[in-house]
Amino acid sequence: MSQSSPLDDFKTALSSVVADGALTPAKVARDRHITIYVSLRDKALAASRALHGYPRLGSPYCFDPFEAADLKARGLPERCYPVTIPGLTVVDTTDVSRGSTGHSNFLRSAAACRDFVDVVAGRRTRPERIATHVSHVFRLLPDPAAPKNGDDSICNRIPDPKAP
Amino acid sequence: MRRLRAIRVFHRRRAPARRLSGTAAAFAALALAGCITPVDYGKIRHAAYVADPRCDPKAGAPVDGEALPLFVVTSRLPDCRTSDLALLVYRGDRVRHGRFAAPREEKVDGKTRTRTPLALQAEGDWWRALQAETDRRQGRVLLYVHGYRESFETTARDAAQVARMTGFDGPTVAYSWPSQHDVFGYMVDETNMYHDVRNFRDFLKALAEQPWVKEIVIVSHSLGARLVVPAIAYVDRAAPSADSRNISNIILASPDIDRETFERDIADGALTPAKVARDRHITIYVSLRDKALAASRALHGYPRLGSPYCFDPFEAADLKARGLPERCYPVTIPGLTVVDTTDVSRGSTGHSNFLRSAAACRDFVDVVAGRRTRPERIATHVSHVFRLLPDPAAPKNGDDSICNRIPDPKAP
Repeated sequence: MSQSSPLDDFKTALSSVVADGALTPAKVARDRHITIYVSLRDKALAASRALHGYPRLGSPYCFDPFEAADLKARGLPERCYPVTIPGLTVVDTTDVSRGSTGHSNFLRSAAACRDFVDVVAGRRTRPERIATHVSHVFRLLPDPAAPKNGDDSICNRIPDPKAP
Repeated sequence: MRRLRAIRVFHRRRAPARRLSGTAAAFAALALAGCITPVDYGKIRHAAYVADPRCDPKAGAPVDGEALPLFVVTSRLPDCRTSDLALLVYRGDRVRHGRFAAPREEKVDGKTRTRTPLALQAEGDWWRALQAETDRRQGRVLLYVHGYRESFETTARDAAQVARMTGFDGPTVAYSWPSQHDVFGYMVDETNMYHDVRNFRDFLKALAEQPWVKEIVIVSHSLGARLVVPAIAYVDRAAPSADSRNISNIILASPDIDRETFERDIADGALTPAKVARDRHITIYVSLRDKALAASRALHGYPRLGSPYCFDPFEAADLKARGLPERCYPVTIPGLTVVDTTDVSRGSTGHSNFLRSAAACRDFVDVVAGRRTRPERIATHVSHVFRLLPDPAAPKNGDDSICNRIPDPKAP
């Protein structure tokens, strides 16, 4: 008898798509890796979710209220992450979100930019990443030692010109 | 200067959207005002709907095939909490197989309501029953894939009508995916349709690979075409060369696919020259008066395959200058026939002429039977496009009887 929910189904489908597609076991064995930056405070993805009716990969929103309640009861944040898939790492930037939509943290948030720079350089692990209850998911937290308003310089971002 | 002209063109192209009414206006409002309806999980754990063993019938459990003559494959979440089985708008935890009959009116506690008899069946039993029914006839199977804004009940009604109307000499299989049956649910329907691509293509592959299936007649309506067209190409690629030969007669009624994407890709996909040489054929029913496809065009920005709307105003002006109707059809592709039902359009949206318009129904019945030409079709300036015109000899109000359609019960 099946006890899975449609969210499990969604995740299974995601899992099967990824595991049959870009992350086949053979490719993962040859060192292929996907790193996903997600944020619960991403307003663009919240709008996309509302439009399409179902959660987006880039936001750990809980579609299933029972799963959310279960996480809460366990004292965990109510964030529903993609299932474990070999070759997949999820980096949660919710707590270091920047900008009006929170949709471009990898370009705008110092903590996310530093992580991204290391991933581009080929690093698979980073001491700055905070482990979660799920082995393939990590959270980024604000660095208390980072300079205030240091995002643009750390991200090497040239601020948009002010509107006239 | 250049920018100004671009803006003017933009406005001219957008203008038709403002003339839309009814469904189309709701649709356009949905897109433009951002009035969007996220899927509500609901108050019941989805696992609770399928916890009863009714949702997982044992092999050998009896199913009354005489009472439930039609076959269904569904990715909808079933509600098995009571013996009154239902298929919901939610995504299912897996694909299920079942049998059903045309919806019928029943009196319950003095109230008349429409009920669709349905039973789920173990997958192995289902395939054996389908084989027995196929072997008993000509080895032919009719597969119906519904579109936008349908429930299982409306799908059952339409699939039963197709079976009756065509007198098909083989079993009819309806494929039911989790459409929301809601005019404001278009984006969710589209999302769920794409989510179902893998489920549908796996089923089509399994069906095409059965040695006892000599021919699959595939009929899709509306968004269903976006499941069917890529799935056929997938089966062609994934199955050994002999196996997809039984997919030869494909009918797309009011297809909600981007016309240019279809034109660009189809000869590499479902209509490769090799498949066309082995007699594969696609028949498309289109209508310029299809309001659902006009709304879909407004939403997506580009013409749909199922409506011969002219996106290019220069092409429209050129047709007009030549004294031709301003209708822009898909380009000529070997193996493709377009039947224009604009002049015999029926219903408030004009989106289901193959089920509602006598002239379209008669054409559809012949195509399902394998006929490739019909004297009733009027040739156009394009060799692969034909128009249907009203039959002056047809009885007035004869659509429902000719189409074998049972009119929807009036709302109370």
